[in-house]
Amino acid sequence: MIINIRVNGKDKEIDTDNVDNLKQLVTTLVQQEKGLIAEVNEKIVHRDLWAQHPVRPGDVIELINFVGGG
Amino acid sequence: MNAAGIEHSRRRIMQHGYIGMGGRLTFAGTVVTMGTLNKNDKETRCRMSDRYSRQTVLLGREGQEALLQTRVAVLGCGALGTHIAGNLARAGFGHISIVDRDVVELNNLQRQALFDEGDVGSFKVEAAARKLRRINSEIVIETQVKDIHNGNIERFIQGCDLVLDGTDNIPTRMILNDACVKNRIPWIYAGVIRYEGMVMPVLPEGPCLRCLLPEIPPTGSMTSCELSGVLNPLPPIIAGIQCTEAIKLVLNKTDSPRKLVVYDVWEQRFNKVTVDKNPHCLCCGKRTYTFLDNPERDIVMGLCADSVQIIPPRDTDLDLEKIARDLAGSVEILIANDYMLRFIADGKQLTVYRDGRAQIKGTGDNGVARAVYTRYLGL
Repeated sequence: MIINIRVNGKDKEIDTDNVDNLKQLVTTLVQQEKGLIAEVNEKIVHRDLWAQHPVRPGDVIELINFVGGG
Repeated sequence: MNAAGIEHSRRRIMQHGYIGMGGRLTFAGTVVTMGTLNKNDKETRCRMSDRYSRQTVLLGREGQEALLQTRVAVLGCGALGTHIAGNLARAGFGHISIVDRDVVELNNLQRQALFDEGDVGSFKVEAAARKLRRINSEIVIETQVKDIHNGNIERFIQGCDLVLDGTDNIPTRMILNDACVKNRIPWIYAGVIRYEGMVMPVLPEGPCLRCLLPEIPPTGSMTSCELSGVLNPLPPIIAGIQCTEAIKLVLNKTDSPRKLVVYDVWEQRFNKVTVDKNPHCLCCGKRTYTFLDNPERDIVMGLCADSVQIIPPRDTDLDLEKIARDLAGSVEILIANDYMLRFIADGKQLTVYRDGRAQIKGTGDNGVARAVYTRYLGL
C-alpha cells in the first residue's frame, strides 16, 4: 500500500509492503544509523523501538544527526 | 578621603575593575561617579543591588537569591562554554567552576566569547576567569586546567548543584552523562556544529543522554567544529537556551516531559521534541555506568574521513619541548611550545597537547593514526 509521509521536510511516498516500520525506513534512507535520532510527530522514538514502530500515513518524521561539537 | 585619594581610587577602578579598602568592597568595571569610596557608602550599596534589577523583576528576589546560592560546573570553555560562563556570571550564579585543558588559539576568536587577541596562548580557563571577574566580582570563579575523563570528572562535579555541557566530543559527553546521573546532579546537554544546535536538560531520574544516543557512533560519523565549521551566531543562541534551562532548573520550572531543542540557525527552524525515558536505558534505567566505569586506558576516535583523535592514558604529562628537540631533523615542526606541538610526519599532521591528547590529520583509519602516534611519541 502506498502512503504519504513527510521526512526531513520533504513529502515522500512509501510502499508499506516494503517499508512498514521506522527501522526499515531509516535503513532505506541513511547509511549510518548510530548517531541518528528519530523524531516522529514531535516525539523521539528510541532506537530499540524502531523495528516495532509502524510508519503511518501523514507521519512527520525527522531523522537528525546528534550534535557533538561545542 | 582627599582629592588625591579619590583620583588614586578612580584610576584603580578603571584599571582593575574593583577597589578594596580594608575590607571587601567591589565594583563592576565602570563605576564612574567618584564619591567617598568606602564600603559604607549608601550610593555604593544601592548601585551594587542594582546589578540584577532587570532580572529580579522577572525572577523575584527569592529567585535571584537562589541563583546566587547555586554552584555550577561548566565543563569545556570553548564556543559553548565561554558563552555559558558569561551568561551565568552576569546572571549572578554564585559559584562557577570552569574546566578545560586547552589554550586560546587565534581561530577561537571567531566564536569563543571572553577571549581577545591578547589572550592567545593563555590557558582558556584563566583567560576566561580574568574576564569573568571583571564582569562580576561578587561571585566566585574557579578554574581547572585539566582534560576531562572518567578518572577525574566526579571530582569536578562534586558539590555542584548543576553541570553545564561545554564539551566538544561525544565520548566525554557519555562520561559526563554517566557521572551526573550516578551522582544525581542535573546537567544540561548542548552541542553546536555548522548551522545546527541542540539542547536538552537531563535530570537524574531521566531521560538521559543515553536514552537518545545508546552508544558512541563509529569512525566517520562524527565531526568537530574544527573540521566542519560553526557559524558564530549559533553558539550564543544555543548557550542562551542552555542557560535559560539552567535558570528554570534552579527555580524548579523545568519542562516535563523533557524536551530536546533542535535549532538550525541558517534555516531559522526551531523544534522542541518530547523525549521520554527509555525504560531499557543502561544509564538512567539500569544504573550501569559503562563509560564512567570503563577501564580502557585510551580512546581512539575517528572524527571524520580524514582525522582521528586520540585521548591517551590518564596522568600523562609530556615534555613537549624535549619531544620537539628529539624530533627536529626527522619531521617538519610547525608549532612547538609548552602547550602544543604540531608537526608533519609520514604525510600526516599531528597536533599533540601536554596531556598526550592528539589529533592526527591525513587519515581516517584508527589503526594508522595510532601507529603514527606511537611511532613518534612512544606512547
